[in-house]
Parts: sequence; structure tokens; C-alpha cells
Amino acid sequence: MTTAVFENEVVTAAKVRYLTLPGLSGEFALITLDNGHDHTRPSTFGPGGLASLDAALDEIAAHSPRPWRSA
Amino acid sequence: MRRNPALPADRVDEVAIAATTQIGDQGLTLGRTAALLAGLPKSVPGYSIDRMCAGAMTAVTTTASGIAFGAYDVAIAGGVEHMGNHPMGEGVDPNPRIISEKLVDPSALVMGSTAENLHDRFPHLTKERADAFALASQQKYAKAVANGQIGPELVTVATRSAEHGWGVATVDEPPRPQTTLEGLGTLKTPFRPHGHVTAGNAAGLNDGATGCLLAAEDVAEELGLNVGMRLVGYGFVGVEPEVMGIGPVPSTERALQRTGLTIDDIGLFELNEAFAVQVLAFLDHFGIADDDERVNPWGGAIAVGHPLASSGVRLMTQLSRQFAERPDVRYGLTAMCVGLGMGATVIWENPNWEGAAK
Repeated sequence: MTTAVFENEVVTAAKVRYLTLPGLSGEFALITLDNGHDHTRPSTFGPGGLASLDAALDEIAAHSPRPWRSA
Repeated sequence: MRRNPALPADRVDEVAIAATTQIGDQGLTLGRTAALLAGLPKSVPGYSIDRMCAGAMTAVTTTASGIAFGAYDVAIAGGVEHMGNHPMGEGVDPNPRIISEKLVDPSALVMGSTAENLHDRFPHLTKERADAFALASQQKYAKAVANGQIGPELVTVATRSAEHGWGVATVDEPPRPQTTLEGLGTLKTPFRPHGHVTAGNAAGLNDGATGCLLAAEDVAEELGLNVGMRLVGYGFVGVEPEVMGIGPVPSTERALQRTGLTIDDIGLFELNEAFAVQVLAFLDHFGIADDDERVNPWGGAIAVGHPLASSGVRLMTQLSRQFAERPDVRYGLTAMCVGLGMGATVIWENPNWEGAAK
């Protein structure tokens, strides 16, 4: 899903982690946007990056019905 | 500082931060750099300090002594050890005389070997007793976490991994609540064939950092700071490096003698569990049962790990939180063994002691 559609796209990958936070109930999703380079290569969205973000959001929605709410 | 908004940052007079391996990002006068990084005013000084495992404990006693002397009103003391980045012994270059003149036995430089030596010296401290104590540590820690007793004092830390992206560490990761006595019995004894010391009955070597606020009594009152406990006295004593684990025995005797207290006055013990055998040696000396409920009631380093120089303040925060629950207890004690043969003990008084009002 993060395959570059455009040749030479530096894909900004969306990585998902689920967290529990002290003092709050419920699970939280944390998305890291990472293009695999340091700060000198800013993250940008091409088709591959957007597809990755879309897939991450789909995964989170499937993981839990309303993951962004604390219970 | 965030938990004590009543304390103006410019009232901090000293920042002492301990680390055993003071190289790389743990070098460069940690107390000063930590103060700058934390955004404390540039007028706040700081220094780094090292007494191996008792680094943070020594940071506390040293800055507290400065307060007692009248040189400071408020100090921050703590410690850090990122043992993932800086393993024990990294860059160590002992003076050749230490080895060539046999000032200490080579085993004295390997902490696990000193624990095996302690098993030799006290044959009645069996592996079975050590494993049983280790299992109890895991179980007590898990129970304290489940009860919400351990957790509120922790500071959430951001983590990062190339594979998974950013994360947030909200709990300590080393504990193994699923530990069983049978499982402990199968672990290898890496320091000696057919030995006693295993990864299960010793503290893990992990990453950790601690900090605490110390203030003069009148200043704490003036600023309305929450008082967790009052320092009564302390003791540090050297022992044979080959059996460094026995250190807390003489250091506790010294601290008791200097404060005019006896072991029977102590209602809560927070003993650093570098090795189960070393805690058992302490308990045997003072005639305390292995499973005495006054001892490490919320578990210890065998469960949560021992990031060397940071651990002393973890013992203290744990004790102060127990004090809050236990107005029936007046005095508590934090103690730990120290590499190269030392013991460190600090005695504390519970400000919530119900007898104080009488």
C-alpha cells in the first residue's frame, strides 16, 4: 500500500501504535508520519503517502469503533 | 516542577544528577545540562555525581546536607542510567594497580560474581530462598501496579523506534508478573557453573531516570510544598569489594547509631534488590523474615529493574508514597549495596505519622 505510484516518490509512511495513557481510560492510536529521512528532507504527501495514511486510518477505524474517545 | 507549581523555578539552588557511566550523553556535567534542558533559569547551578548504584541516593544526601548546612533552600536530586546505550563497564579502564597488586579480587568488578561470593559466605542463603524472594518481588510489584499504588509517580516518556514510529512509555517494562518458581529454577547461572545467581533472582539492567525535590522544612512550609518525608540521617560504609552485597548491613548500623534509632523503630524498608541474596543477607543479619511485610511491600528491583545511578530515588519515592498510606509508621529506611564494596542507608520520618499530633 505504500508502493510509490509516482516514480521517485519519497513515501511518507503512516505507522500506527495503540497506547493507553495514565489517568485516561480507553485506547489511543498514535500515528507517526515517517519518510525514513532526517529533518533535512521534509515529509511530503504523494499518492503513496496518502495511501499509507488512508490505510492507517482504516486500520484504526477497524481496530476500535471510536478509538479517539476516552471512555 | 510541574507537580509542584507552588515552587518558583528560580528558588532551586542546586541540581545534582547521578550517573555511573558518565560518558557521551550521560557526560558533560549532567546536573547542569539537565537544568538547562529542563528550562530552569540559567542562574540555577548543577553538577553530576557518581557512587555507582547509590548515585541518586548520594545526590540526595549531599544536597540535603547542603540544605541542612544552610547553603541551599531547595535542591533537585536524581539519577539516570540508560544501560541500553551505556552498559555497565562501558569505557572502564581500572588503574592497573587494582589488578596487578590484587587490591581487589577480579571477581569484585563483576557484580554477579560478588553475589555468588555472598552465597559462598552464607551457605544458608540458598538459591531456593533467593528464588522465592524474587518471585515475591514480582508478585508484590504486580499487585501494587494493579492497585494503582505504583503509577501516579511515574513520568510518561516518549519512545521512538524505526520500525513502529513514536511511542509513549507509561509503565515500567521490565516486570514479569507471570514468573513462577518452576520457571526461576530453570534459568542459567551465568556467573558460575552450578551457581546460584540468575537473571530471575537479580535485578534487570535497564533504562531509568529519577528525580526528587528537597527543601528546608521552613521553605517547604513557606511555599506550601507537599512534604513526602523528612530525612532523619544516613550512613555510607565500605566493605570488601568481593562481597559488596553485604554493604547495607554496616551502613544501616551506622545510620541507626548516628540517629539514635534501633532496627525495631523502622516500620518500612525499601531495600534495593540488586540481588536477592544480598537482601536476604541484610534480613538475616537483622533477624527479619524473608517475607516480612515491612520489607519492599510493593516489590523491588528484581521486578522493576535497577538502572544503577537512578535507583536510590525510586526507593525514596516508593517509600514516601507508602508513608502517605501508613500513618501508623513513623520511620522508614532506604538502603542499597554499591559496586566496589559499599553500603548506603538513608532513614526517613513519616510526616503523616499519627503520633506526631499527640
